[in-house]
Amino acid sequence: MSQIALIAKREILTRVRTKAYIITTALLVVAAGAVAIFGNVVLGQGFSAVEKTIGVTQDVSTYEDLFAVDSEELNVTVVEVTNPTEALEEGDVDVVFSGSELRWKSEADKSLPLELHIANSVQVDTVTKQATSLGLTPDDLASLATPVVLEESFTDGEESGQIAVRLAVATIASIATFVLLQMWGSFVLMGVIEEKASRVIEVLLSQVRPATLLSGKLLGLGVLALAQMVILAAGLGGALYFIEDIEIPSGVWGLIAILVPIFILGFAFYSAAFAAAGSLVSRQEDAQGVQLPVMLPLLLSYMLAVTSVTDPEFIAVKIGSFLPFSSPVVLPLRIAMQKIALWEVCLSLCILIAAIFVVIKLAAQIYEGSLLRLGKKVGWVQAWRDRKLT
Amino acid sequence: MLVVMSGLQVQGLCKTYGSLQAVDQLNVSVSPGQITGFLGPNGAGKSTTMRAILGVVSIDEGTVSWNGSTVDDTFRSSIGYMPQERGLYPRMKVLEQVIYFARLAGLDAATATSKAKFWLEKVGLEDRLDDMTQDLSGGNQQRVQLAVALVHDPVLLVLDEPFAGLDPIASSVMKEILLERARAGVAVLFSSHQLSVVSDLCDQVVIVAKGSVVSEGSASQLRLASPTRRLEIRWREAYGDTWSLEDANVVSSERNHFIADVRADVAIESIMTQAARHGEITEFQFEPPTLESVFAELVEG
Repeated sequence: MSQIALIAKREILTRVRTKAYIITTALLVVAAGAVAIFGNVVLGQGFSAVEKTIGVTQDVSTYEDLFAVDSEELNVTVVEVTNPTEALEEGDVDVVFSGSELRWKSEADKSLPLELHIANSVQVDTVTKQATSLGLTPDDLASLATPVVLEESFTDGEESGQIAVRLAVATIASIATFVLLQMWGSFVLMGVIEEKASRVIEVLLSQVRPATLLSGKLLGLGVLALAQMVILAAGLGGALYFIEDIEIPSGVWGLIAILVPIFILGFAFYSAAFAAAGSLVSRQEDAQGVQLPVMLPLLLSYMLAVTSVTDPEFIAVKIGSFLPFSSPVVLPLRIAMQKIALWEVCLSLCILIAAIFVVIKLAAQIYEGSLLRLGKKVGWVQAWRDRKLT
Repeated sequence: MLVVMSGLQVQGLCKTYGSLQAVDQLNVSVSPGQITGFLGPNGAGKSTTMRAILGVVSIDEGTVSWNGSTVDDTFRSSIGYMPQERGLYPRMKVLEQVIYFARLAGLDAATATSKAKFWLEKVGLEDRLDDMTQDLSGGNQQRVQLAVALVHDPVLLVLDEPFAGLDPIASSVMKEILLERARAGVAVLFSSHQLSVVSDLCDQVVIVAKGSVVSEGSASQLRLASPTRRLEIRWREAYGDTWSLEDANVVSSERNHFIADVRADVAIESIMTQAARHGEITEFQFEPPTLESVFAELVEG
């Protein structure tokens, strides 16, 4: 077995046995399942009728004619109540109507669609009565009062409801990419620091080249990170697969497919930088400070992505989808929202791949130069200047 | 005539850190089966030289070769190394750890396992194989470290202060193992501040100061090479006052007991004659200085 494989294997075996890995992976499986079920329920139910019950104290049949409705949006039944307060408390009815007053259980329980429905119905009733007294026939009135129904269509060919799927997928993809990059970046950083803190690094370097050590470490941790990303992508894909009421908008399946490759590239970019950061210090306590310059661009990209999910044509998002430090998080957003051309995706990935080569080369030099500097923290600038000194 | 030396050859080694010249034109050689002790004050360049042999630090100038060919990454898997800063993975089981390093040095899984068990038993840790390394005492972790250095059957051992921090029992285990390895034909280079250990164990002693070798040879050669001798005389019954001697650096002078450092080339017979006039001599010693004194003389002078 080659040294890289041995090192990767050790990283995997050591990490897989830890509680942290078992717990985070289990949580991911649960989260993926929850997304699948919840997404399906929410998106599936959003378009079935809201069921409501109106309580009245008298003239049930009159009010039934007035209020009862069974449409696609609203399903209202009318029942007689003797004790309005009790009926509301018990939850038998959603509202009690007493001719001029609506009584709710609490303001939080108020239903706007129901309130509008009742107000409308009363209004229609009043208009009808007055119109009759003015000599209009019910047919005249019906033709006057017919509500206007406007059809909607979208020039981009989307159906209503599809934007919700896009938003959900864009948000989940960006968050998942950020969380996993950040978490596994920290694991890389901690692993590098541990080797310096325990001084095992010099024994290792007597048998292994620094570049080999770095490659093995990133390979091992990368495989584990990838496993988690695959679980997540599968969960997301599964959730979409089970949605029946809405046709999955174009581009979303493509995103699910490209999410894992984008993550691999993002991991390569960021983990090398995290490793270089880790090599600058010899104590776990110094980890926080030293990872800031690496963590910050990742965090900013994430904030840009989640705050602009509804505004994918924002200029910062467009720029961010091409910069290598932000594209792994921002690109999924633009793909999900379909506000991107294929050539833009290709260009962005090419920039990222080119940047990976540069970052790995620079990071490896800083890593090599700083590994044996034990004790005091080494500054980034100094590490770069002294990279050939050891 | 070109002679290809067998064993380790370090020639003209130079290494600077910024403005600090850590090693300056240093030469040292270790033959198979030979134990070489590396002596020198802190900061003399011993650790840097050892790191350079392992390729852990790059060399500015000079060569490191084994049996005449330059030491490269392939050969380094035949070196056993114990750095001054001891280091093991704290959260790894003892046996697993030793197997891991054996495999990094190129052993296959089965050989690595049997060798790891063999050496852990040899250093007395056969009961601790499945313990976490961090749960072992400092001394026992040192034993694991030694097993890591030996597990891949290296032909060259480079040990940076292997005796530091060892209790007398662990220390004698270490001595035994070094002697046994040397008998098996391994070239051993180790540094130490414990001069008694060095004079007991070493076939060759190399003293370095300020990055260069100031003296080398066997312990007795080094002592004999000293320009001074320790003179000690006792008399049964001395006459008159204390005895005195010209050109002597007197250490202690009583009426019937005299100690002084004198030049190595003094006329001993004339001193004896003079001393005999002082009384009946019961003891007359004219010996090279101890290794400690030689060391102090070379390093401070």
